[in-house]
Amino acid sequence: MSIFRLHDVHKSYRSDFLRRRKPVLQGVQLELAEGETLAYLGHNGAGKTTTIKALLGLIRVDSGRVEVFGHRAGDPAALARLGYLPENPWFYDHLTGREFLHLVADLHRLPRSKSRRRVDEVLELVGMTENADRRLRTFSKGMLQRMGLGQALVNDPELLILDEPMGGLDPVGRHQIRTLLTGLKEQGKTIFMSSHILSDVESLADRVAILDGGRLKRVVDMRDLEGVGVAKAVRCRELGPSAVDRLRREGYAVQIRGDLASIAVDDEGKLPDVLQLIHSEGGRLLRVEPLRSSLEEIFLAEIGIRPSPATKPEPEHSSSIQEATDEVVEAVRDVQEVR
Amino acid sequence: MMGVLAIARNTFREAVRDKIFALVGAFGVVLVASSVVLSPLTIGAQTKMVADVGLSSISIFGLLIVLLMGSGMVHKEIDKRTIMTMLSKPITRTDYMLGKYLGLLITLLVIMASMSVLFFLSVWVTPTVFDPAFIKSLYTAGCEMVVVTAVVMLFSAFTTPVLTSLFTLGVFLAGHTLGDLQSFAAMSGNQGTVWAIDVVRWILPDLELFNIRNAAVHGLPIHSAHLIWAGVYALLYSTVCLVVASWVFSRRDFK
Repeated sequence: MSIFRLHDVHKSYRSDFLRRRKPVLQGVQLELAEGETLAYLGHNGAGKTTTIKALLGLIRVDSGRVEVFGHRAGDPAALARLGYLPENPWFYDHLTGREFLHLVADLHRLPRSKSRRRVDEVLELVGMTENADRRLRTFSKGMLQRMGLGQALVNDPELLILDEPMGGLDPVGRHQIRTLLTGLKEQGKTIFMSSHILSDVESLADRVAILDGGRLKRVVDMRDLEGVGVAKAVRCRELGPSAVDRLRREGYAVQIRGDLASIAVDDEGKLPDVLQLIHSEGGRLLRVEPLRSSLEEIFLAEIGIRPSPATKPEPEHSSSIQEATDEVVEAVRDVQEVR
Repeated sequence: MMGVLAIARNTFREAVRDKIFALVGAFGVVLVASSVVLSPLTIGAQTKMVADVGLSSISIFGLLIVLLMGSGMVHKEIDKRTIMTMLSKPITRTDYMLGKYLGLLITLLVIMASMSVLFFLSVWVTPTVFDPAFIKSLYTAGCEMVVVTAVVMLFSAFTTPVLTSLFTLGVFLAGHTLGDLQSFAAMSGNQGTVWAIDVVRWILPDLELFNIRNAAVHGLPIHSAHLIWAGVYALLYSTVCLVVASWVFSRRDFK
């Protein structure tokens, strides 16, 4: 059964003083099946949030059809069956977490006796029971994100629409939200999430829809990526200058940092030759690792970017392992302070 | 209806927690103090002075609160993007606007009721004769606020807080002077001007209908029919404003 259906959706906004129209969505066609987790991937400004707003009826599309649970987008009958987490959620800061969830329960017309029980359940689920009676204005970004997920779950929705659910979170926060979403997926919830963080998409999604410039470029089934060969990075130590020259002459990208060398091997078939060369030149092999995931390769290819073969992209939130570790330690300290 | 009431309750709670009621406290202190200090100076006209100052202050404070709270109410939600969360729940945009209107109106009426209590306190502490017409005047002031609040909602559905305040203030001033303008137009003998003023009078609210302060202060008769018509007029005019506001609001995109 189809949960939502976008059929040839076009949307443009008036963008400047002369009120010229700038296209944001151009013929988007997408369907979501029951129980599926579909990730909506695209860089900033690709049209991800606009698509979500079209699904919720927050904007009116110029042309095309948007149906959610068989209803027109924005119809209260459809909205009653879904939960939505906005990007960078910000809620009424004069309310406490519990009051806010009760307000949401009232909007869903839950009877008082049922809403009290459901609010307690949701607070427990998102790990906010201890902070439930604090004003939302005192919440950290991660706590607001969890509360945002909580408010989306109050009505026990069939469909979850999540706009950048991990956006701006520290590693601990991301881990918590990812764990929560994995649990919801296992419960059979249908999830539609926009993101530009590939590792999150890879760990959660069944299918990935790639959007670029308002156009849907490709829909990838994650099962099709299993076992697909990817480019490798060979890390080694004590590789002599002659070996580096030889590798470069043969077309490999080699990066040197002190006595560490990193060699990018795009063709998996050539890996044994490279390993042999390192061995014969007296280099010490440290490890061989995927240079990029295949999803990343597909994504970059679809949006027309040719990745640099020599470097592995750094994690979005840190530039080195040390920095990442520092961030985790700091985040844990923050959580402890909050408690 | 449950959604409308939930939004109204939230709007009221926000006003209470934003300490808007501190204004009422300040009003009370100023009112009672000024009545106690000034009334001995107005020999023989104490009742008129206290009643005039008190009833006028309640109307002016009411208008100020509508402008302060109402003009930015919807815009703030759009700006902070709390509206995205609200409108993703199973309510219509009409429910949302009605809930906001009711919340603002309840806040305003509670504040005006509190101010009225302080006004009666000032009547009690000064040698002022209580007249039941004071209550009638407060009732029509409440009716006027029902209309002005709906006008604020109408403008806030599509424009910025500053423009909403200016437009509402303009409607308020025009609504109190249209009768005079119509008289001047009739005296000028220019048929075009008379016609134009007539059209404007049909569109803008006749707020002088709610101004019975002079009659209350000077002890002139106030007929029940006038009070009933004031109530009916307030309901009808505010309904029209809210219908238009909902229609405009439901056509808005929230980027």
